[in-house]
Amino acid sequence: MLLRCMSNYYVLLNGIRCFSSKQCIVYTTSVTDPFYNLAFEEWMFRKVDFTKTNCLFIWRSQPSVVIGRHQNPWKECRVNDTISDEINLCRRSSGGGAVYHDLGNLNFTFFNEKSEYNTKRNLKLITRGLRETWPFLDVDVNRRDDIILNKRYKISGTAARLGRRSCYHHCTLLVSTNKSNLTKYLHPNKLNLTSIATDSVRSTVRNLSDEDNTINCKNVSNAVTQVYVRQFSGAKYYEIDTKSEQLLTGVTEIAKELLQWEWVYGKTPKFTYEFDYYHEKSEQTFPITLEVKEGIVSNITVQ
Amino acid sequence: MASARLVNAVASKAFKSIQYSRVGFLSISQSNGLLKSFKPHCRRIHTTQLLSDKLFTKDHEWVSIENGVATFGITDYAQEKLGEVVYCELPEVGVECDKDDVIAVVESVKAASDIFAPVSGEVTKANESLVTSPGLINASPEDSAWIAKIKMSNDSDTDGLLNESDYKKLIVSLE
Repeated sequence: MLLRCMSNYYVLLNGIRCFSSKQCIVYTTSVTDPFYNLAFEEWMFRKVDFTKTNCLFIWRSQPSVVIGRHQNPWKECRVNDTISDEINLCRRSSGGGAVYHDLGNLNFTFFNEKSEYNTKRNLKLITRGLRETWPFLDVDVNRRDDIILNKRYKISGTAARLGRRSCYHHCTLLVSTNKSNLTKYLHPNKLNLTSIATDSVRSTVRNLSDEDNTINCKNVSNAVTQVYVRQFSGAKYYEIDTKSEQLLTGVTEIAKELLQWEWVYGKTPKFTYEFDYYHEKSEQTFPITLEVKEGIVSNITVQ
Repeated sequence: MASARLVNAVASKAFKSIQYSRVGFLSISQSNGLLKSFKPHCRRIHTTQLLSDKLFTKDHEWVSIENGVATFGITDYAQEKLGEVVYCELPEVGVECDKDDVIAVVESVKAASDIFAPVSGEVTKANESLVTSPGLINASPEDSAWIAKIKMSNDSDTDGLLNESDYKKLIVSLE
């Protein structure tokens, strides 16, 4: 028992020492192309050693639907609408469900070494930042790692990626997002799709600016940054061009991979789509089943 | 006389214990089903015998090697850390991989985690049942939820792997 207490104590001491001696870097960017910002995350994940430095990347996107690694875009959103309205459709390499980004939504990416992976700690850091600047905000983190406003509205969704030594946790934060667009593009398809893909969980959402119209992306970003850097012995701030191949060798290649049809659509777990086809000449209805593998119809059954 | 009886008693005990361990040993190569009817002290022998069966990586994967083919999956410790697995992305059969390459990805509680090839070689089989039932990884991580089989291209790849007792020590050090 004593040994156990001692080892816990040691872990605790070790944790504090480890934390305070670490440096941190806060990256912001004016790039709003989600493919490049997602590519920057992947670049950092693959190339940077986070044993001595923790990083926070704060970014925004032009209107985009971003689905989880193992999701079906035809099920999660209106694919045709995103194409006709020129909304980006991205697949990220982290898990989780579909989200909508626009310039009214802030994204936070926390990079750590894997042993420090802790989504709750990061989310609580965001809520602390919000409450310190706007004490009247009723924000909390729920069991599903969502940030909840006024006990019922979701304002943030989370996803993560874990490698051998590094990991990142990223989350959205609705500050002043166009909610009617969010509802429009994330509207789930009613089509009869049967799939093993990860399903999104629907939630009622709200913007932080609905609570106080002085809240904007800039001051929320500052509020969170302040709390984040307080944990570390030193902080550096960079405004980074995530499209700069000169700074980030290989980032263009990663962005290209993320843009490819084979990644966005082709990675969809296999699914079947059942529908009725009405043949006018014969005035008959035929039930049809399509089997789709890697985004391509592999079998058609007409009954 | 008394001492002779004592000697006999000790001898018979010793004989018995040899018998138990032999039975325990033999039954492993014959049939696992037999073991269920044994008394607890025989089962204890059975577990000790199994200790050397699997090898482990520091990334919490287990490997079982038979005729140059490595079957691997994630350990019970790993599945517990991951939480409920909702999706398993398997390697394609025929793919060549190097030791430590990312060979599979499992998704749990919104996190996508990389799984690494424990040895180099060619993927000869992937466990398709994980596609429809990813939860098997939580239910039976070190048995029916094997992830894939790799035909090893380099026998010395097993050199850096841990045996069960060393792996258990690693877990204790992490807790």
